[in-house]
Amino acid sequence: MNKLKASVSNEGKFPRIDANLSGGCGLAVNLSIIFDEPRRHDIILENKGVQIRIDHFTKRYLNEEIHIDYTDEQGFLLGEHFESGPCTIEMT
Amino acid sequence: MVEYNELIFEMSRQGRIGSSLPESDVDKVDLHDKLPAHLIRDMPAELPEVSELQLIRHYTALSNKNHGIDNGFYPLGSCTMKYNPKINEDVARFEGFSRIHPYQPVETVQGALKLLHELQEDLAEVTGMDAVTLQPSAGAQGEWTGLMMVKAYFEQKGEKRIKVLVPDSAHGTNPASATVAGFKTVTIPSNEDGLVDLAELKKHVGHDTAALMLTNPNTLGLFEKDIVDIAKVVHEAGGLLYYDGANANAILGKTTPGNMGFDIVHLNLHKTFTTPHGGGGPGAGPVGVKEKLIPYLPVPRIEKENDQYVLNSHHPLSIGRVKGYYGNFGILVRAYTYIRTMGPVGLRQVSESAVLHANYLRKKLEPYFESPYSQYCKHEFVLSGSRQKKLGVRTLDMAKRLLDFGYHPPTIYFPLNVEECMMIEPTETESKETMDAFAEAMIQIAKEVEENPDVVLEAPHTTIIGRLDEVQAARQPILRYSKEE
Ligand SMILES: Cc1ncc(COP(=O)(O)O)c(C=O)c1O
Repeated sequence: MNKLKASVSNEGKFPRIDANLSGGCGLAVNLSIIFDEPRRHDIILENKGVQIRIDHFTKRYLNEEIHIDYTDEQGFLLGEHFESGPCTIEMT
Repeated sequence: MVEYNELIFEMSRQGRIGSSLPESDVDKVDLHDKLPAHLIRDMPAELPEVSELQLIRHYTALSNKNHGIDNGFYPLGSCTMKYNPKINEDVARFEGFSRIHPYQPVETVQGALKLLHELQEDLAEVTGMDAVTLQPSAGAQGEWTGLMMVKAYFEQKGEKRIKVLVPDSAHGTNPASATVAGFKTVTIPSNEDGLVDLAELKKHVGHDTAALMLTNPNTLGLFEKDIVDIAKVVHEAGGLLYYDGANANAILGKTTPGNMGFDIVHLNLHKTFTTPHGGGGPGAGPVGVKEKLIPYLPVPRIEKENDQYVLNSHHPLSIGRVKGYYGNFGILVRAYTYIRTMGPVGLRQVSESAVLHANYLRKKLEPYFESPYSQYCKHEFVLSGSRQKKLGVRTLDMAKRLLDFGYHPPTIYFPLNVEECMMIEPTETESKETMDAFAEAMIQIAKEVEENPDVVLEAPHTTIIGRLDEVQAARQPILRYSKEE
């Protein structure tokens, strides 16, 4: 959380949970934490004074609960639970 | 008209059957006397019980829901979804082609072998290669076949070369084929023009480089203009150049991979040469090679000895057989028919029109979508949905919305180096009117994103099944019908 707070609002960029698709043969959804500008109709979650943005599209790919962690080696981690490894949903 | 809305299992009525068999005159056998208990089912198979007419109507209605090139525009980039002329089908059904058997003595199938031999020669000419095998049955299998030849070639020379270089814009099958063939793949980043970064390439090329796999034009639809220098860098290091011919529709009759310096080529007959796209069905990925790789071609090879066509397996350095019999014969007949009906002038017109169409459509759409590369494209082009992303709408949403207009969406999220990518390939067989109508639909969607995004976010609206829950489908797929669930 402190790491998130520290990273907030440098140059009008805000933390966001973002789903990105990659295709080719089938589609995979990758979830990650990024810092960027607000998008229209963002949903804003607030936790311990930190606002996190999610766009309409990303919301589809998130469960009710989502955990965020930070380690120096791996940066921000995102998952339903961390044993599940990288947060990727394969859709083929 | 019967609409498809029920599963065939749900139409089932106990005891209803589609055929009447005579009373069995064979004595009943107790399965338990014949088979071990664990192999005998304890529940009857839940097979649907319907009449023949119900069955026909059900599957006909279902097939009418399918989108194919015969009923609509299909700008699926990298897949060259062009019209498959019906004359190909007629010729493939000639008795002399459809009623022969691979085990027949070669003297009795000389016509079929002649066709295959001529097709090999035609494809060698189109690609600028010295010999061709017709065996592989898909692009990916062609890649693997080519790489196995690369491996055999270096083994024969006593050189240990383990790396295959692949640009980041390459199709996923390139690194996959290299890995299956036992190589290590190294990704070469593209430069800001979407082309192979020559400096990066030089960093990675070395004595352990077996080959560079390249698609030209690449999957961004851009011609690798430095191809001669690229080839030189790889060849000077002792490596080979592999051409992924999936995009050959852009260069037919204009230039050849042989001219560009490539040593091995695969073609996708189901793209460039108008044979039907699989949908899991048969494809064909013939592979052409330069002289030095001929000894490694798969066997049996179709050769001409005096006036006879023969199947020759006596090539000791061959990588062996890569497919049952001689490839997907019926598909090869279709490609041969296409080449004969088009002729050299016709084939050149194909690439000219394919390139013109892509540039026409690109220019029409550029004001409405981000266009990451400004140079002229070849047979396809990419747009980015990054502008729409800021408005909370993604490329996937726009692709779903296109279904409402009756179009198959373009390829999306590929290549991976373009954000929110849409890859559009109109092909040479579409009319100006069709491309204009498609452009209008895309422009309308771009306006909807600005003014009325919900209509895009909730699309499709006109399909029998609306927006699917992809996450649930991925996480908890139900792949089998069962009455209980
Ligand atoms: C650039 C490229 N290379 C290779 C392939 C693989 O071909 P196939 O699907 O016939 O295995 C494709 C197919 O989509 C492709 O677009």
